[in-house]
Amino acid sequence: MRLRRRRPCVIDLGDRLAPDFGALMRGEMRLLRSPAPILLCPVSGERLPVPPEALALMATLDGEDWVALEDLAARGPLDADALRRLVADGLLVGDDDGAWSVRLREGEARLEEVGWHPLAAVYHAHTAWSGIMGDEAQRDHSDEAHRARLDAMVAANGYPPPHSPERPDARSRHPLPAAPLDSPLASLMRRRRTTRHYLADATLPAADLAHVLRGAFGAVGHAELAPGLVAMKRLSPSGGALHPIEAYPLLVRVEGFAPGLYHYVSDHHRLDLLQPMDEAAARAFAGTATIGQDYFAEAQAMVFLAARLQRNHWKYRRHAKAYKAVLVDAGHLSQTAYLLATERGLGAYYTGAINDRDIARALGLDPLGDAVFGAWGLGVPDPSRDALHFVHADHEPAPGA
Amino acid sequence: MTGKNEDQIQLLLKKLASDDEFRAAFEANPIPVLAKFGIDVDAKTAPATVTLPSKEEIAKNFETLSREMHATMAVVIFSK
Repeated sequence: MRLRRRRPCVIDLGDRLAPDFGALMRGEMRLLRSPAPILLCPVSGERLPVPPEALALMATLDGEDWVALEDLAARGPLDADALRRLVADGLLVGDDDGAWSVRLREGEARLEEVGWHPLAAVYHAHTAWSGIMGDEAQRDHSDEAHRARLDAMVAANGYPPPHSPERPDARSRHPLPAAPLDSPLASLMRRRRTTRHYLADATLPAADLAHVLRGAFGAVGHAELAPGLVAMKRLSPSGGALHPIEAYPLLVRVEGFAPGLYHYVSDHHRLDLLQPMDEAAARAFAGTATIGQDYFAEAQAMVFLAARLQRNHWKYRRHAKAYKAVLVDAGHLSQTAYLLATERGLGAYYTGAINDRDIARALGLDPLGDAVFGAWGLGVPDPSRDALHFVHADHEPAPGA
Repeated sequence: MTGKNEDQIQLLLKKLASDDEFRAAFEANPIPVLAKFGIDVDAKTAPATVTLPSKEEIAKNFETLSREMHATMAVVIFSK
């Protein structure tokens, strides 16, 4: 067998907190803290403990050139068995047919093909969720319970920084003309809000869904910048004019459409069915996808925003800002979709608290090339409920303040 | 002790803090149970009679451990 270093190989030198299992078996519960090098695997998203004695050796290995296991064992200090364990644990890559070795070789090659910045690849893999469930469905949503939760956060974290900070070092202060913020666009934007109460039994008109999808995710123009290089114009900006984010609607109760997972084709303003479901299964998936935020499962449609990073990275290969730019794209698309929904009198929401790894699997996406960043949703609001809404008092700046 | 996966340690503690049947199986034969969670403990460290701390005590330490790990807490909504 031949070996090489992981590529990329990002190691976190931190402290590990773990139970004292000897004490645990004697009826005592205590946690022990110890220094722990951890390799942050960008392929599996796992945190792989590195034996301290292996650290120095790993630092001497090349990420490109292979070295024979026997030669490395002869150099010491680790013998052949110890080196094989490092391969089995995913800390080194082998050229053998073992499951880890094949997965790591293919995964690392895929990351390079997609053009990930190494730190973004590690960050993305280690912030993806699978099977996470909150306690939203069981939580008491009364005003008192909600206030108690906020009080507990203040007790634990102190007060948050102020909502509208002022710079004490400003050289002078200049009040601006305070014209009413009441243009048609501004009025629409003032009505926009996150809706968490929907009429679950209502059916969303297909025309409403089509309007929002077309306006938020549809192509409204093209430019062929060079042969084979087409830039698409949407109603939102996109870093590099690349629009790498695709919309994947989960339809729960929409006029004329079977429930299930679809792909929205931007150019043709068409929904392609990927996975039919019954309504109950679609609602259940909506709930688990959003870590148990069951109020979103009441809405008639959810749209997963999934970025094809290879399109963005074609222009911004291994680029320090590429990942951030795509996240900003998701925000632009969400706001545009919010406004289009508001214009139609519909409720909308966006959440980043999602089981992105599970959603990608359900959509048949490549976990190393596609990134599901959020779930945007649309539905018929329930005007009789407000418990989970951000209810605010209007604010106007005081003249001359 | 080498634990390959911190998630497995959290899962183990969660079960020890809540599952009476699992606790009984652990007390009867702890080393193989730990091994199933990827935790290798020298069998010599196991006392002749294994007694677990209370579920409440384990739950409290599970919370401490969870706070040190990556936050996966539920959403806190700003409403009224």
